[in-house]
Amino acid sequence: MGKAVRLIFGYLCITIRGEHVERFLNLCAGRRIHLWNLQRSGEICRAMISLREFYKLHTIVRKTKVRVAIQKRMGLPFFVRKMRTRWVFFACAALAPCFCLMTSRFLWSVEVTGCGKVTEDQCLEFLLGHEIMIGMRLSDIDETEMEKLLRKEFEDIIWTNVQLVGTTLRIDLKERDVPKEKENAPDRRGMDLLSPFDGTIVSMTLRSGVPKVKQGDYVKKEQLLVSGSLPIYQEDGTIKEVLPVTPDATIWIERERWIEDAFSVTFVQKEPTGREKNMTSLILGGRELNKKKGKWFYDEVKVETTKMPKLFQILRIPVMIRKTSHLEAFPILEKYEEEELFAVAEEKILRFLATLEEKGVQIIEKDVKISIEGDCCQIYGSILVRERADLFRKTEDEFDGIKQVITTRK
Amino acid sequence: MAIRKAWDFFQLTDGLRIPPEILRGEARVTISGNQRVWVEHCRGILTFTENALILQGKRGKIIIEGKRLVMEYYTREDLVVRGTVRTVQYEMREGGS
Repeated sequence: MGKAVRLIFGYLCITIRGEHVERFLNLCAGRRIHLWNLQRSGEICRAMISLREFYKLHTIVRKTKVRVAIQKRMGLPFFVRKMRTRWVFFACAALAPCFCLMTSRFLWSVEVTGCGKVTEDQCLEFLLGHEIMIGMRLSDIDETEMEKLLRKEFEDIIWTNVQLVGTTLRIDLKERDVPKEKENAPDRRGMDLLSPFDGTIVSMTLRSGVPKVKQGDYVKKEQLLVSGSLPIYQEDGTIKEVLPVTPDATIWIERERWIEDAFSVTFVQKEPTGREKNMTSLILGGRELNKKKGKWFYDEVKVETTKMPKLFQILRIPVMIRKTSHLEAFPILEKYEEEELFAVAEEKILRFLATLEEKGVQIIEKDVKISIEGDCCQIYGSILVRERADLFRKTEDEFDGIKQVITTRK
Repeated sequence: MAIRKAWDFFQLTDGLRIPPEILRGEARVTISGNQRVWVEHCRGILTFTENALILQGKRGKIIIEGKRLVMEYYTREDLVVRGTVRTVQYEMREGGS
């Protein structure tokens, strides 16, 4: 405590020399001038004295005929005097807490965790829709209300926790594991199931509807597979009425798909030369400050990292720091080796097959060829696939007139 | 008479629980190990060097000898000496008791 007070009011390290140093010390003590850390080396006596008491030494010095010299000045008054020329620094130091205080009242980031079926983008879009955006006042955010709205908006969310941590809005979501039965399933009553492409029916499981084809049949595109109109016949064989039903069947159609692709055997590779330039810039309100324009190198590779600094672990501020590394690179035209070419082609084929499988297509057989012709590598061939028929459409059939009658009767 | 005076003094200090050396105006020297000496009620510094500190007491001198002696502080009431203290001596004035 004493040291802190001394630092605030300032203190000096002085040297006392002369014949009557002891008398000087006694007089100081007698007049309640506090001296500390007194050290004697030869004829010189070193001591510490507070700045305020230093001005009282005048008469004692005259009386004892010693010479007092200041060796070092310490404390706030001297620091302030020294830093007087750096007023901008002090102004910024004073403004920084105000800035922190001011910015801590606004929302600067949103964190969403537990996303699955409901994506983070969907959540952010929902927030925007409810006028919750970066830069708004924290006091305008009602967490409880937002939890309710989130659960209402997204049926898959069974639990939410919305809380404000510093200047961050943290949203925790928990989605249901078992999918809810869709209430808004499209009503396909009276519609027909058609073939979406040409092919052979290899499997057919009918649950409802009137089948128009059988397993092993070759079907054309948009050919009727299962009808959604169920005729009720009278005893004489005439149609009494036609009931609309939902055609429900799992029909797998086998067909050939063609694959054709080509790519160049040469490619441009950027070889780093080892020269590197780093740049740090501030992003304030979507504007990048200290950004150097123009290209630094003839050809370069850019590595960027953007961070939002946090104050006291929780307070985010609306400033982002972007660090960019510019690596000089020299473009070299390279040519694939034969093995590499086949590997690249194989990868392309596998990627194509993976996209098919993602769509629920079963791959039965593939006959794909890779050939190199001049500067071009070609991929071509056929793939035998099985796809599910899922084209529902209302078609005109022989019962159209009868259906009309039933509808008007109802 | 002298005995009576001494008895009164004893009564006073004992009754008020005041250390007798304070009423007598004598210096009080407290030594902690050989590193620190605390002297109260001394009348002034006579000599102060790196190796010795001679203080004026009521009835004589107090001589503190040692190495690298540094006065932690010095006020009208007390002073503290730090360093490697070798000896603390009392040099009585002639005729002192």
